[in-house]
Amino acid sequence: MSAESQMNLQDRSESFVRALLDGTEDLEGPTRRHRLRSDALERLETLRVPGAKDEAWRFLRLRPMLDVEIGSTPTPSDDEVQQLVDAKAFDEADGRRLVFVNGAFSETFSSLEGFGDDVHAGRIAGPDEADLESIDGHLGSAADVFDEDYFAQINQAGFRDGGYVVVPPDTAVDGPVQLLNVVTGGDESFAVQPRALIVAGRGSKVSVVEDFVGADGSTYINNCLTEVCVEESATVDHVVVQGDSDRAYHMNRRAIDMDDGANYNSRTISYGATFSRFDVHSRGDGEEIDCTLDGLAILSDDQVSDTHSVMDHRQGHSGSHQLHKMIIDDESHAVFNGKIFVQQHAQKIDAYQLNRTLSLSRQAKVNTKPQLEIFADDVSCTHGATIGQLEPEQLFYLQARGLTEDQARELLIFGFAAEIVDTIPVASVRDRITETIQAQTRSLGA
Amino acid sequence: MLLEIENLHVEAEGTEILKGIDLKVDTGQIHAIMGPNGSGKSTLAKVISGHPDYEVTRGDILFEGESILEDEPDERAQDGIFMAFQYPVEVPGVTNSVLLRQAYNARQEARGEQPLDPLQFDDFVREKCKLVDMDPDFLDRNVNVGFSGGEKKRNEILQMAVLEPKLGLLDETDSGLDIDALRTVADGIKSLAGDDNAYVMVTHYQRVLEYIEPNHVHVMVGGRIAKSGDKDLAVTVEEKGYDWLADDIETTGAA
Ligand SMILES: Nc1ncnc2c1ncn2[C@@H]1O[C@H](COP(=O)(O)OP(=O)(O)O)[C@@H](O)[C@H]1O
Ligand SMILES: [Mg+2]
Repeated sequence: MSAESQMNLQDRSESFVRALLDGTEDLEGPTRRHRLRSDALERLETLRVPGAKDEAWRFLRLRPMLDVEIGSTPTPSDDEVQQLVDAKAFDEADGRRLVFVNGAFSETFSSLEGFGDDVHAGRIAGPDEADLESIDGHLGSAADVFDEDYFAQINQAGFRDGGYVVVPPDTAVDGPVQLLNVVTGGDESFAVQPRALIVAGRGSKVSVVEDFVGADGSTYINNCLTEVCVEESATVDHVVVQGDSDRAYHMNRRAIDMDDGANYNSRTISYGATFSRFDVHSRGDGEEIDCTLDGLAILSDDQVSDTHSVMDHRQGHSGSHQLHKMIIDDESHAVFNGKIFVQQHAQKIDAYQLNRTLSLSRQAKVNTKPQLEIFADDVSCTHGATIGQLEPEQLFYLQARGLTEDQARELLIFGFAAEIVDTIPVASVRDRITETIQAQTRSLGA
Repeated sequence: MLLEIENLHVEAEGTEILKGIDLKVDTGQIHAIMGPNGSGKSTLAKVISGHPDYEVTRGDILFEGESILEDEPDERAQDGIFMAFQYPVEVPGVTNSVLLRQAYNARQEARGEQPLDPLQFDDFVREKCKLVDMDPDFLDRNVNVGFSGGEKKRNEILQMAVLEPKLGLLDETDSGLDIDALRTVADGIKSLAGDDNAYVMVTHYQRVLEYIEPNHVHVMVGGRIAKSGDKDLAVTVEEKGYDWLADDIETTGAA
């Protein structure tokens, strides 16, 4: 790259940051957000937008995203929002639903009455912001793994609001919680920066579904960050669904902190956005933790999706599981890079990681790199990657039972996805995603 | 005539496997095809089903009087041809009940009949499970994944019982079954066999033919039918092996 275009890139990135931070300059006083913001602004002084030379970003072209002209964030009509909410809201979470529309908390569409007296849940930047003691010491704490991450720092410096769920010790939340991020807008492109904080206190249990949904045709950048603190012997089930607009850029950072005996169980399903990038960092700073980071990405046309994950085992007697599946069609491009660290004193670690790609088109691309970095000696770690096409013997078998070739393909593609989808713990979300994916796979491989 | 095979020559990867097969199967009949490993028995069954690996270079296959060589495997299945695979294929992520229902309803639709909804189908398929003595729990398992050899064979017969074909091709469905399972499977086949359908059983062993009496027995050697006869031929083959037939072929081949 020439010096001039490099300069241009930095220029672009500066105006990109300015645009994403626009309107947040008025943050005043000693609030948590203000502190996060000033720390992040300081870091951004020295951080550069990642380029082709950065190992973790070398398969992605960020330029198209940086070139998006970021205008003011639109305020959609209730009808427009209603449609998107209706499509994603699920019964089990009625009364435990936080809805954000274009990054702003929606009083109209949220319902919080089902949380009960002991669970703290709501919006981070409400009128009572200064009194939210329950999130003190948590907001921004897990995210320190992203101190050097350009996009995480832009979120830290500029998020306007977000949702939090703090579950006190020995409490089980009655049913699943939904964090629903709806984005929709007119002709102008814009940016949103959702933020979420999930804290499960000692011995508590909570299930969270984090939904990102956008109106197709809307162009926007969704630069989101989620923190999850799983304290001693607590259990968090987490489903993340990325169904952003077909013209959206989805930048997703997630930091998970795990204490002794913590269980974190996650499924990440990604099918929306023209471009998506997930960075998931799980810090296992306790013994006997159990972490699952399963995922499914379905890509067609010229979609690009990249998942970078880190499972950091810092203490022993723990396990982790990661099955990451990708279905690529047309000229799409999928990237997976999963690192498992086992630190020196972390003995008796059982870590499993497998990345499987189903390729339905010769033009589709995949880059995969499962990585183990083990500094302890008494561990059992397996990892691997497979890339395959539909099996002709399976196609013939189904056709011999009377299914047309298209039906057979559809069933096989869906079967590949089902291994992840079937493990989603909330029944109606599982059904909804099954339907979405069936609709997707119907058009794949044709 | 249900099935007529005329002078069928078949190649795979440039090698001729079937070298002129003639076979006629009518409704109400049960045929057995025996023969040593590699003689082309599975190839014959797969070619009738429309497997894409095989190329018919000469001859024809007629089903109910019409050539099916140009038909896709699913069209042949809709016509009423069913092959129980020698090596049933595992299909991860697809449950038995989903496959069975989709296959059944595809056939219903092809015949212009009403499809069954999941609840109706569940009642229907549970009855069929009894026929092959299969635990209905298997319906929720992924097709053939983690099944034992015997369970896979039984699953093939369950599919056949659901689809009720006109022509059932059973490729070594009896091998790998203990005597109890063999009886169950044989009883299942017998209960399906009737005046308006026919079965062709490919088998290594005469054992199964004690339970299901064939009207015709054919012995394949080297891609040809070396000898046809009644059920006594199966007994002869069990006693004498195949060598005497191989000689037969060579003499006729040289003549
Ligand atoms: N798809 C194929 N490609 C190449 N050769 C094949 C294929 N299928 C079968 N054959 C060959 O054809 C011959 C007959 O095989 P098969 O029909 O499976 O015999 P059988 O079922 O009687 O044991 C064998 O030599 C086998 O290797
Ligand atoms: Mg065979």
